[in-house]
Amino acid sequence: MQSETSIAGTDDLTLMQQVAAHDAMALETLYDRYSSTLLALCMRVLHRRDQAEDVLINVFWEVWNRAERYNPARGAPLTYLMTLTRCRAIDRHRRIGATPTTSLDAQEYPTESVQTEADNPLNQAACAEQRVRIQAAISHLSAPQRMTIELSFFEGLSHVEIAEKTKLPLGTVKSHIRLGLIQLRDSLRNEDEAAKDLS
Amino acid sequence: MAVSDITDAEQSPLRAHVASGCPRCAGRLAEAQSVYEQIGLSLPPITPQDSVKSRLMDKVRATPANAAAAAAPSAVVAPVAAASSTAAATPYKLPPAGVDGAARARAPAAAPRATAPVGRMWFYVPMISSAALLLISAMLFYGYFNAYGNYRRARKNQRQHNRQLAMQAAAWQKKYQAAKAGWQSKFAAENASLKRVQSQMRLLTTPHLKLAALHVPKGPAAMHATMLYNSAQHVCFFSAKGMKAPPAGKIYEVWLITKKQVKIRAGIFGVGPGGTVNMMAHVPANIHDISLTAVTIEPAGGVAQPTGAIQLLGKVLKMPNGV
Repeated sequence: MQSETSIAGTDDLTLMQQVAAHDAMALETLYDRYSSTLLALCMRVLHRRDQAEDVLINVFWEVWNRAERYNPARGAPLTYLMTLTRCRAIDRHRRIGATPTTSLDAQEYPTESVQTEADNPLNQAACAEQRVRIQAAISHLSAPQRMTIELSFFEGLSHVEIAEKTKLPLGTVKSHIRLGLIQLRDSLRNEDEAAKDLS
Repeated sequence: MAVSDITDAEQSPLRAHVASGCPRCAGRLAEAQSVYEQIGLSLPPITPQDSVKSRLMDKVRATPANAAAAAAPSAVVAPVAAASSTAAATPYKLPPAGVDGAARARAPAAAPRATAPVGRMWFYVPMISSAALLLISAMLFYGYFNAYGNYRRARKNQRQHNRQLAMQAAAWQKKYQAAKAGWQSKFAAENASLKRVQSQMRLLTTPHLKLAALHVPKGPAAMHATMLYNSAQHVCFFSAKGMKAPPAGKIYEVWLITKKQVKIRAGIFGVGPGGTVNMMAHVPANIHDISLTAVTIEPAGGVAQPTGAIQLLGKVLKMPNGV
């Protein structure tokens, strides 16, 4: 068994492998690293802390029991955790009937605790920098693009449901989402290239 | 971008195309998915309460699978490690519907998925294995005893069948032996009869045959007899009809009388039903001149020389060409 000090610097993929091997310390490390990010997502969907924390526990419990379902070819462990958390939170939201907000503005997010999730200062700074970049990329989206993307992402609505809810034509909804994601991708790509140039 | 956000009619060709292994589309889809999921990272983090972590880790450490798996982690790590090593070469696969939020979103609100605790599963593994072993053992024992019982029953039936066959064979053999004995007896009788007839035929066809017709010298003519005499074979055949039964203590006796009045005893006979008599007698080889034959009544057992009255008498005549 690895010591707590040595496992803290382990990369996400190795942690997932160790969780698949039912290493409780690896799961604890993974929790320390991403529980804040995942809880924020849960809070964004559910707007109830008790429900959000309950979903958070269920997500890590599912990771503990079914870590072998994670396929590295599909994406990074954080992407897997985000997808899993979003799905479980939306499921819970649909059951309890909570009404989320429909804005991506950072000011509307619950901010009673803004401590970072990273397990060391370097990761802490990297996560914060990444968050700022994403927020900047989102800020460049048009209002309809942000709204349709938010409805799709945080409420899990399909294109048809978004069209019904926003009273927009289905083709327009598809165009907003498609163009918004392309713009978001390009913005993040440009941000990555700029960061590489600076480094 | 979640694939499930598009309609089913749009999903099927896309999923089929990506599943076919197109690297360009798989890469673009993975990139879109990555961009889509990064939206969640834009949210300011919220640190959960300490009790949340305690609840989770207590739950995790309470499972026996934790200790069991920690003893041998490499066995479970292997699939993920292998997937990791082949990640670059593996075509992008669409996330399972259960992980995709949009797919969940379109589905009606369902009950929370019951997640089976790993510890409980590990607890049931030895029980299920033992039950399976017991079941297999019981099936094997049942099969063995059933097969052994069938074997014993078949063996018993075979023995009984063999006994029946043996008894039947014995009965058939007994019947065959009886029939064989009967046939042999009958054959012997017929053979004897045939030989007798052949002998009689030879006797009748020989030129040495002589004939005597015997009559009652002083009595009713109803009682008469015939005698054939083969001088070459020294044998004579006597046949009589209408003979009366001899008096009590008496018996008929046949005599051959030569020209020199030597009386030779040929044999004795009683009288059967109907008064018929058939008998054969050997004649001494040194006797050749028999001229008469007679039948007298003598004391029972016969006598060496005739003492009683003559009942039948006849002259022996030579037949010119035989019969």
